[in-house]
Amino acid sequence: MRILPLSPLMLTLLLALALVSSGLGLVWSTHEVRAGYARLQELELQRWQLQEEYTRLLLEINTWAAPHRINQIASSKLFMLPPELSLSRVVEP
Amino acid sequence: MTVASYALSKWRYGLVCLLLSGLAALLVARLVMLQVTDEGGGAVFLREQGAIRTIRTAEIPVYRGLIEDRNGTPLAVSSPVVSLWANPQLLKDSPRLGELAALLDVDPTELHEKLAFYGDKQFMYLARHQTPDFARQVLQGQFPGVKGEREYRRYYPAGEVTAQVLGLTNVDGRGIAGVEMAFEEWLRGVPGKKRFIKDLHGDMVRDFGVIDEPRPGKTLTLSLDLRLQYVQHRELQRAMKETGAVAGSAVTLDAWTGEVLAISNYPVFNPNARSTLDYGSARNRAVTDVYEPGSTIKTLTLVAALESGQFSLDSVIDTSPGRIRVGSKVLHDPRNYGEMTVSNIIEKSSQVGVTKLAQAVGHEAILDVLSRFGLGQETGTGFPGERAGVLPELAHWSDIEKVTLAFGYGLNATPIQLARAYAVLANGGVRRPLTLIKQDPKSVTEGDRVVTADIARDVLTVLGRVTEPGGTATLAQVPGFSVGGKTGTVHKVGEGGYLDDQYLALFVGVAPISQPRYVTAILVDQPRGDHYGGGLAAAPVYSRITEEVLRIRNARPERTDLGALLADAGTTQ
Repeated sequence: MRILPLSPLMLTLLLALALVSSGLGLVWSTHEVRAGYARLQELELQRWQLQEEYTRLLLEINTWAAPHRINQIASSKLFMLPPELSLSRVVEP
Repeated sequence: MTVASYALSKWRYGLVCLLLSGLAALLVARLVMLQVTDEGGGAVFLREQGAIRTIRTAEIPVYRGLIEDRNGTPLAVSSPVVSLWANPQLLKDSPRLGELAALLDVDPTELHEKLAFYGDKQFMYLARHQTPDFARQVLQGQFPGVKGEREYRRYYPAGEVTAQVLGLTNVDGRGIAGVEMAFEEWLRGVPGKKRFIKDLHGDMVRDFGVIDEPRPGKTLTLSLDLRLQYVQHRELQRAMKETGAVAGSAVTLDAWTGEVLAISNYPVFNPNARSTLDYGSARNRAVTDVYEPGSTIKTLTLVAALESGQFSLDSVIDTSPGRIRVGSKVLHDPRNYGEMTVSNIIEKSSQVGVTKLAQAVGHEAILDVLSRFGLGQETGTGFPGERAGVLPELAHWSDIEKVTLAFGYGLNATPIQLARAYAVLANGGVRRPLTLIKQDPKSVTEGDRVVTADIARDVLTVLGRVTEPGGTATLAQVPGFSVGGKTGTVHKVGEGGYLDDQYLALFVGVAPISQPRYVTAILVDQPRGDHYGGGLAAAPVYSRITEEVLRIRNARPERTDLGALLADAGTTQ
């Protein structure tokens, strides 16, 4: 009484093949996880460093663009004055 | 003999086999119990014990929400920093201690003592909140037991300009004053958690992933405008220098929305230099300190007078001979003004006139107006430490107390409360709660009507005359706009009553009168010299600030005097 259309030898070979490939698959996936994890850590570090740079630049922009600095440069270096009312004209939208 | 002994040995052999295999079975059963069936919690216990020795949970730091002004300019930024720490047990006997101390710029003996003090611990901070570049440099030195921990530190790009209103966070990043404290829930981030397997040296070898997702704090958009904030700061500093005053405050409101556009105080402090922090100058005086408001309250006495129906702006009151006796006191005007209209009385700030108005309408009516205009109540900003001020609740009112209430004595209020009371007038008689958060102009909170629009308009007309020639505050004028307001000069209270030679100078103004919207209150505490009055010490500050407020907020000038300019150009050619 044969349940399977394969000889026992073929069955054994097939199962052995499946076993080996599953083993290799495990090795491969473990390697992928390791590599992926290393990449994740690298990216997390990069994110941290980019954020570090972003806030540094944000602070830098706002230091350069601080109202008192602009005021000082405008008046002492560029000799600018707030426009007097007599020099203003109202433009209706 | 031998047969019998053989038979006996066979029986014994069987017994021994049975016993031994029974023992083996017991061991296997116990093993199954521990590892598989978890009888009596054995497996859980072992797994936990294993995990305790290898698995660690690490916190994922999150940044605190950004605080920005109404135009999106950042006012408070969390920046990544590294806190350096050490395991004293690994570090204390290192021969490289001197090298580390030099790198950290600390005294080697001090470092040695600190390490000895924490000698039985496994954790000790070496230097908190270092710049990432510097921390990397130290960590590259590979000192035994020295590690870095990521944290965030709060920076305030505008420094002292916004210091008192923004407040501070403590070293662990929690708000402890000002906006930082009031909106802690909104700004605070929730740190995430992740699990990993550590090796012998405590380094991460495998990550199990994130258990709790980190949730960074949310961005908070304030109603403040940094440009106005700077203008207030600059003008307040200048006024302090010119008048020699000890302190001062300025508040600018948008009456239509209830938004606080700027709020400054003097003295100031630098929020980025914590070591030099003086808590006295960290106070947001405009919100947390109460003062007697003096003559600025006469505006509200005028409201009560008009509401009583006994007076209109043009009703005439005789103030001669320029003094009036109330109880045992005599109140004086600078000179005998004779017959005055109700409007004139406020323009000149006549004591005699206001006394007569107060006596006619009664102190209950005045108290009622003060309360409706928000005095004695918080303004709604939610600012930590906000004071509500006090309206007098006397069982028995003497004649003089009934009258001095109309002059703004016997009660106290914060500068922001005064600004809010005037904002009711600018808003056509509707009182709104104040807010430090930017509002959508389409969905501002509906206010309460506390006085009719007609009376509000009448009072503003009088306030406009105060800044015109003949009024008490001509220095409050702003070129191109009609502005209105009221001065106040108050004797400071010291030990044993009012001080003769120390004053508060106040000015509260509304601009522009034709389309009232921006309310600014100025307080100069203890101006020295002859220019101590509200009209001389506070009104010019109001003028300079309001000029910039109107320019920055794009208000339409009423007069540009272009004709005069063209005429000038014609004559010079």
